[in-house]
Amino acid sequence: MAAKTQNAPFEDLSNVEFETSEDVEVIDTFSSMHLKEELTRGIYAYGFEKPSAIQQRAIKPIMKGRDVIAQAQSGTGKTATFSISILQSIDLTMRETQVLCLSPTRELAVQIQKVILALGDFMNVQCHACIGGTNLGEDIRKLDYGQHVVSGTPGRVYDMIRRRALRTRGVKMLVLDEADEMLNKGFKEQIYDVYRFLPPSTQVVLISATLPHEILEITSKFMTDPIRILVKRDELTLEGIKQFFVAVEREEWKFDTLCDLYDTLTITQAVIFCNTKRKVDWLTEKMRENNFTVSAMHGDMPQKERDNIMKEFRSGQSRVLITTDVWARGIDVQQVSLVINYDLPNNRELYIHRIGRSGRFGRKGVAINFVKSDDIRILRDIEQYYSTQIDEMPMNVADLI
Amino acid sequence: MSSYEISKSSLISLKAEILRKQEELGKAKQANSEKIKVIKKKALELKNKGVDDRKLNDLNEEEQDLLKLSRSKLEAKSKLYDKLSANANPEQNEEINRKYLVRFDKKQGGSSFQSTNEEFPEESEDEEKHNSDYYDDDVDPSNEWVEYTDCLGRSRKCLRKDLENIKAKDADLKLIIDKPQQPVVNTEETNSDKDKENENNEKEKEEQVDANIEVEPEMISADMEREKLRRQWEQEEEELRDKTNIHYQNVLFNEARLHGTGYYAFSKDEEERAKQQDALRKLRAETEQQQKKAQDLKAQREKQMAARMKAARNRRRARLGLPPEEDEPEPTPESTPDTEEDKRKSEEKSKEGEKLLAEARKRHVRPWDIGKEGVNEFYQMNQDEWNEKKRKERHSEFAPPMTYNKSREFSSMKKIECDIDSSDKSLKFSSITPRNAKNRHQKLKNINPYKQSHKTTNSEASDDEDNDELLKDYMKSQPSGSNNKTYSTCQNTSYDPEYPTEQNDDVIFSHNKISASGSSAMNPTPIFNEVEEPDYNDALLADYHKIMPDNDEQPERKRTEIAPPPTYDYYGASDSKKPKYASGKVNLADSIEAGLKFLRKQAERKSSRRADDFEIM
Repeated sequence: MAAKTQNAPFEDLSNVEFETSEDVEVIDTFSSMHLKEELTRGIYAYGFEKPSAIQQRAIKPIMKGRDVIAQAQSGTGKTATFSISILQSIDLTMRETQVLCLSPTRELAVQIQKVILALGDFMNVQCHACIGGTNLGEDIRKLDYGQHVVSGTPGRVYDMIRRRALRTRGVKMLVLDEADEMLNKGFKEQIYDVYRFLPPSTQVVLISATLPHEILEITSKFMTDPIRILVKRDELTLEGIKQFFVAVEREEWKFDTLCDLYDTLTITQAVIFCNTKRKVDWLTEKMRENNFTVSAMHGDMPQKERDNIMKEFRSGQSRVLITTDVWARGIDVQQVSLVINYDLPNNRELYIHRIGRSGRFGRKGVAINFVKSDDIRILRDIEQYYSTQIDEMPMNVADLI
Repeated sequence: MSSYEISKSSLISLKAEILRKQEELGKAKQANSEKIKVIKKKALELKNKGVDDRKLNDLNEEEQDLLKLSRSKLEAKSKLYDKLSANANPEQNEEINRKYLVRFDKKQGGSSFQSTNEEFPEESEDEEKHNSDYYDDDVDPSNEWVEYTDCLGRSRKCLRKDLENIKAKDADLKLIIDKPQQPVVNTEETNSDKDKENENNEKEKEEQVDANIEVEPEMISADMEREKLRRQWEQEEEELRDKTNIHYQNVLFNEARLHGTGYYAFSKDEEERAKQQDALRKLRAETEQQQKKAQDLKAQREKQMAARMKAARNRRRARLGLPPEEDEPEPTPESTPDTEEDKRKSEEKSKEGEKLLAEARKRHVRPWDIGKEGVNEFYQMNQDEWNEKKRKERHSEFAPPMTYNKSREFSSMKKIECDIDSSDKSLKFSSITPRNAKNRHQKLKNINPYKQSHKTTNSEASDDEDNDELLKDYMKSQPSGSNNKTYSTCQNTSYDPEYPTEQNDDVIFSHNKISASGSSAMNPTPIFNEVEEPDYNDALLADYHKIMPDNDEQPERKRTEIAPPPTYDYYGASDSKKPKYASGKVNLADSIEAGLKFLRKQAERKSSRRADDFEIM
């Protein structure tokens, strides 16, 4: 039946309710997944002991070669899920690109490269981050050496394919991390362009914390009878991330509130989200004027600077980062325990992703939203949509971090 | 009695005896005490040999290390200190001043050194005072705290009485700070960027000098450390540029990440890394070997234990005079063959299903794949799919009658109904809009042959309304009840129990027949409700439905067929409406009465018409 229904390629799916596939097997230990020994060792070395819910469900079908759409809450090990599956299914004796992994931001692509290298440390896997803003010649040279996995951003990857630096003949799997973003208007064309160069019926894996209906609808265009592992939206927020708001009457007061909170910010590490690059610059300037140490990052900075700021933040050198939504998705820094929405995000999905920068893999996190009186309505909408709770910020917020 | 004669010699010998005894006692005591001591010592020395030595060794090593470390640190520090304070170059001094926030030049002279020495206790005192003040909110106005801003723009607090003193110092500091900044600014004005780089280079050089005397991390400001790290990362990246193999350690870049206990930071050097991995692999193999050995050993022991237990049991049995235990056949894991068979079968089935699905998946062509090398331009259907598709396209009116497929009977009907409902949009069956459909519905009903066959016995169209009225009466007279079903069944299975008829006998006859056939027709056949108009959009199709059950039932007829009364009404085509039947139990008396009434009326009309006819003739 399933094959039949999906064989009608141009069905109207707008009224179909997508649910988790029925026959999803749950495997609750890494050792019973029959992984390569080196890979298992890499997994344990990286710090995983027991697979998370998504890892228990999604790794097996991806390994078996099925198309998979996997959704899970932020910070529950999605990247590791597909990384493990990738590492399990590649042939290390062949030094050619077998897996292509696309993500929306350069930082995320680099992070995925890192995770794959970490998990495959004992396997000596070769993974290259193919991202914009770097030296083209170097990229070509690196690809020439032969990479098992290429993790990149669509633009540069497409460029490399067209230049025939990245040969797609051996590609067995395409992974779209943050799939909903990748299939959004801005990126969909680019994904299509890349997809056209892949061998037909390449295995496709979609991963994201948020998968709106319209995204699931278009998956039939490039996936075959996918296994779906989905999360209902009222289960999408994590218990471990406490959400608060601070009501301010005027925009200017947000700054004072932030200064008051600064001591709390530096307990571990914190990320402050603004909606525009200009505002990031402005806020950074203003914070520094007031003798607060902060770093800032956004898409208009040169890649070199972005890299350095990421490294500093990852190494713990800087503790407070002011940034845009370039940082909203996927970036994993264990020590981040506080997220501040200086501006409320522009859509509900982004809210989930932003607050998900804290509370990584079972750790505690706090999200604080600065809201002007007319923003409260939006916040309430978000609260209702995800059936979660966003209270007014208590005095002892520092204790929760 | 005379006194005893005591010889001197005996006295002396006695004394000597006592002395000897005393001496012995003393010796014994001494000997004993020695013994006790020895015993005590032995009790205390129940430690293993060499423990103390080792302890001493350990202690020494650790302590020595620590001592060495602190000593070397202190030495380095004092060296640096000396170097900095002995530095004569004033320009460099300024740089240093800015960097370390210690005024080394002032420390050169003994007096300034003293002054700084004085400064510190003062400050600490201040702090103490500050603290105390903070807690108990005192005191006299001269001890009041005042806030001031120093030359660096920091707001600070001090006691009012100290304010002037501090201000003087502040002015000094300002002078010192202002001096070095001027030349830097001047150079920067000329060509800013390059000079900055130059400055950086200078700084680097300086740092290299500093590195020689081991700069301690605490002595570096955060900015400098950041700078240092950046340079380090750049260097690492530079190295990576020409490497063919990149590993996790190469891209870690000081990330503060918690790894698992099994994490092993391999060397960044390829050869070294290979060596380490080899070593790990060897260790792993060894561990596995050991584990296996241990397991084997355990198994063997268990076996032995079991054998011994058995022997013991047998001995006991022998004592009781029983024959030794028989060897129990090992409990083989033998599940019943049936369930296993079933399991296998179901597994096979699921495997087969999986295979089919996999094949289907293989055949499936994604829209985005169309046009790629080796992919058909279009989606290729197999025969079944093609049939299915064509069937869907077919106009339902030209479909084979549903009687062809008996099993479909009702479900298919329902399906079609649904289709009709949904066809509003898809225009599957007709192109009429819903509003038009209603009109057409009416129209179609009128020209419907089926409806005609149900029209009343009366041929005259003009009588329709009257007849309808009569019929209503008739229906009222027929109470609905449990016989509904049988009645309606009969309707379908036997000839139409047309009512009203012209003769009373006929009415009675038909009713009799109904009651007679009722019992035999108990088998549940669906009720076809003719009273309520079903909500069809397409009247023609609705009629189809009405006809279909009749057709379907035909072969099931078992009762003798009775020819319909040979009336003109039955055979002749008539446009008049056929009365509908109310289903329900027939009350004989009532119906007879109604029938009579009807006949009477008819007779009256006939007579009047005859009169009319006569007139015309």
